[in-house]
Amino acid sequence: MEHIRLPKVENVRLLDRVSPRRSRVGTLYLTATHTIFVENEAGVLHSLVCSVEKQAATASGCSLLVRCKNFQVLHFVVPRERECHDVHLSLQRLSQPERCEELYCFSYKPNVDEAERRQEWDFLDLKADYSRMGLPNSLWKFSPVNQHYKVSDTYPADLFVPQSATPPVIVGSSKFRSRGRFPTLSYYSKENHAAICRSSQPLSGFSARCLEDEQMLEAILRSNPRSDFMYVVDTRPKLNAIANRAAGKGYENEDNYSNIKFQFIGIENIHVMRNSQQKMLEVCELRSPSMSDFLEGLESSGWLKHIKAVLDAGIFIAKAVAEEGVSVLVHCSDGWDRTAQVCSVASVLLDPHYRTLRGLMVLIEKDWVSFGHKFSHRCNHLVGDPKEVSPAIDQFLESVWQLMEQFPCAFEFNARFLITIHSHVYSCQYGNFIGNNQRERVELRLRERTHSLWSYLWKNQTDYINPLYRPDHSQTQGLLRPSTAPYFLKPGIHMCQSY
Amino acid sequence: MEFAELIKTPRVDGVILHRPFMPTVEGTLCLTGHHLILSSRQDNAEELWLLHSNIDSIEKRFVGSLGSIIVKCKDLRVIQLDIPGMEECFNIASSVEALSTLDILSLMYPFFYRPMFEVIEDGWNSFLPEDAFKDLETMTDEWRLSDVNKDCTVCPSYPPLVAVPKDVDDDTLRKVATFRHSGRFPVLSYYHKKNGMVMMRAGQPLTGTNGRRCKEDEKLINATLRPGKRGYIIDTRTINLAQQAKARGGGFESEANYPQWRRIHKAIERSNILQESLIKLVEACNDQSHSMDRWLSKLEASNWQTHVKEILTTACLAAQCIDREGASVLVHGTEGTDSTLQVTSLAQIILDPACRTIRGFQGLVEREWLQAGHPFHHRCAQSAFSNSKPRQEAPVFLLFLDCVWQILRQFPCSFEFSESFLVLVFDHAYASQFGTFLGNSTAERAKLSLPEKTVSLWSWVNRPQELERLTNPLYEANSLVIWPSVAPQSLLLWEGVFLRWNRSSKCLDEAYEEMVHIIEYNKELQNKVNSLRRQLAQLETEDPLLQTLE
Repeated sequence: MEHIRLPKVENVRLLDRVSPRRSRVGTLYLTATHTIFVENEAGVLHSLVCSVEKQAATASGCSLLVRCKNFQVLHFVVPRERECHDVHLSLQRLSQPERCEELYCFSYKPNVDEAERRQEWDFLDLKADYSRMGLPNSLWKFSPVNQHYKVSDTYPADLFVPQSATPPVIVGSSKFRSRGRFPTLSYYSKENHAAICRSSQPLSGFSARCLEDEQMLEAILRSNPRSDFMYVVDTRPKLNAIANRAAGKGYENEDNYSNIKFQFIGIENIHVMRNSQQKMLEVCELRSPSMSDFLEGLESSGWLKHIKAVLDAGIFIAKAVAEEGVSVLVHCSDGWDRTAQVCSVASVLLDPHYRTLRGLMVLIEKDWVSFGHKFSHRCNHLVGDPKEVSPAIDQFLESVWQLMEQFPCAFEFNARFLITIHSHVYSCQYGNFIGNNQRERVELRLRERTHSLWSYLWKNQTDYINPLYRPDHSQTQGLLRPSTAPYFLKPGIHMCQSY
Repeated sequence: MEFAELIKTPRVDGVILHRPFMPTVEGTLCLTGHHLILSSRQDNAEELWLLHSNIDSIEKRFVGSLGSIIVKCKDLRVIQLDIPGMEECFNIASSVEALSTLDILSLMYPFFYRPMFEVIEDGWNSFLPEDAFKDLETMTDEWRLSDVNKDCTVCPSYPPLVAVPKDVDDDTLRKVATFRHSGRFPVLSYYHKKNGMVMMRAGQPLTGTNGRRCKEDEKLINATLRPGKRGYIIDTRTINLAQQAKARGGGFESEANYPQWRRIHKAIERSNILQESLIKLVEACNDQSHSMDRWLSKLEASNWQTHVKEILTTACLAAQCIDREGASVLVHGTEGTDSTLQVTSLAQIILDPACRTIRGFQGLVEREWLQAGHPFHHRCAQSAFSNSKPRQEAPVFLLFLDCVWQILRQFPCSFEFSESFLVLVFDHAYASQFGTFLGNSTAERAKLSLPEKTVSLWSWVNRPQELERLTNPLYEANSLVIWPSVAPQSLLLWEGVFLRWNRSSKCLDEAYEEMVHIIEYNKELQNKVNSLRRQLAQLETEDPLLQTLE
């Protein structure tokens, strides 16, 4: 509360972006967690505020632009400059918490009793999803090797590894991988035993080898008895991967690993993606742009090009698994951004279950939350290094939206579901996306202190159901084969929100 | 002339047909006077029936003795035919080329086509100016139907009957006609029932460099103003273009001579630029390089979406003047047969719910395009693939349909027709078995005796089974004015036309069927609810016990 310089400002105008005539006058309240505009009850969560910009004062008042992480832009006009200044400073501080305890999830207390709250966290069970895949079985086993986050502090405690991978092989392999992120199972296809595995880059430098890492890949290959080779997909552009070799990292040498086919898929890094999104948002904010301004901006942002790259990578992997029956190991640098995107897009394409409400939640919980996508850093929950921010999850959700556009009957959920998830990834209202990995979340005792988004979504599922979906529809079955011809991709979530 | 003279080889066996997203078909290729036909002689395999007039360009390729012809159609479809034998291939190609470029109207297919369906209502008589005027008379008595153009000499591109202000006599009209481009004197385009404001259209005034004026012209358009009210003149050209037009005898209404009118200039492009734009757009849509940057930069460079935005913006402006400002509007460009009609017809889609029904839309196309003298024969002679130098071709009408589609997409429940109706109208404007879009004006159509010798597209459309196919299942009559967004984000590429042949529409079709199914199921349930309610009400009135309980 000490950061609120001015709790209430009257006669504030909220401008309508599309038609200025429809602006509204009301009272602006600042609370510890929300900015509330009373007249139409518009509330903005402070954790959703991305930036606050104060513009030069004019006769009608002082403009305050509040840009939100869900791409909403609110344009307030505050009558007196002094007040505007205070609101500006308060909001700036409130939207950038310094300590974790300041996050909204710790003060969010809906009317739910403790037993019910605890049940919320049991709603999704990752082990159940692995058993749905048919695991463990004679090819893949549960491994307790990372129980106390000793082997990789950014991996989950529960992992599945090839039956023939012994603890020394796992530990040895982990020492040869960035942040100890050794190859482990992400998705397994019951039908043909092909699997998607994920890891970080090997510490191969120019010539280093690691017997255990080679044995680890061998073990993955052996767990797919019908196949005599496997793909290793490096989702980075080749140049980036080569540059990493100088730092003692790099990529697998085909000569050292038996029966692998190595493949680069050029998805750009987090910095390129951050800039791309920034440009995309600038395009959305243009004031009455011409068609050329818009299309040129869209092109130069590169946003759709990156979405296409993520989709293409997912398609490559999904086809390898479903059509060739070949297992794939996916990695990028650390294996928590591009790898998460590509594995989860491939899973959506492969398995109809992930196209259901519950399935998509499980998929995000597995490939993103449990495998250590750095939500706190990427979403800038706490004031931190701006270079760590990146829209990896935005791109995943938008990729799913592109698929929904092409297969309108294949998904149980609607676009609103994606948008709601997107908002809450950033809102910090629920504990699900706080912290950078499972270890941090356990330390923060989130399961004990916060609420879970998943059960909230499940309870409100009627809002998120796609009426065109039928479980027995032909589009619902099997592998999706989307077209990524450029003209089929449209600017997605950004447009939905800024409108 | 006999078609046989042009057909060098009427029939070739073993021809293979390639179409995107469809299996190849092997069969016999036949050429008739009007069709290219491929028959597989198997019951289930689909045959190809292609009108020669639908063929925009044809290319030959030879690999050894196997020749291929690539046929590019006006509906933007591209197909390939592999023809065994050099000579056959050569003959087929040159025959098709000759048949598809025949420019003799009286030899066109509609003159030979005999309907295989029962004509319930003759489309040629469905939308006569006198009937439209009867509707107008129920709303106002300020207008009259003039037959000053009965022999089409005052204005060759106008129909014999036009609506003009009641107090303006035919002599005045004749004088005004000499002051307007191609004799296109101001006529009524639309009457806004809500507030009695009107939209008129005309050709540009022939002021020339020395500022010629015409008192009768001023009197005519002032006659449409309410006392003390001002009107708007929307000139679809930029002020620069309008200035330049003076050197060629054209011009615009000066403030001095038209003090009661405010003139607004917009920038809708002229026809040759639109044609170039279409060619570039279609080229971009058929680019197989699959690079996102390349696609977006080509889409941008084509300027097609820019034209859509500009036309819609101008139409919104006209509609705004009428509905919001309560002012009457006169629209013109140069000739008043292209951009003018785009604006007047789209403004009516925005303002008038009747134009958003299937029949109302037909009426709109009849009034504002066919009878208003849009030169369809010239504009639609070639489409995006033509190699020949464009003369008067331009996708003016296609742009109009594109704009309607944009509005339909933004207001999916406000139109009685679905997208397929717009696509159908596009197809038939460029190549058809029906006579509706032949010729450049009502006068030309009468001279060719089209109403007597050909079948109208509307005769075919206005039958229950066709109407059902074209009806939008989401339609709920909306009596309001609908304001489309013209922000670039809101305007999409019309996939249904430009990517029609480059995509498999299976999944989208299935989604559509699913939607129809849900709507029907919903209706069924609603009926059930209603009948149960009736039953309940009946039981309540019949049952004395219930009554006493109450």
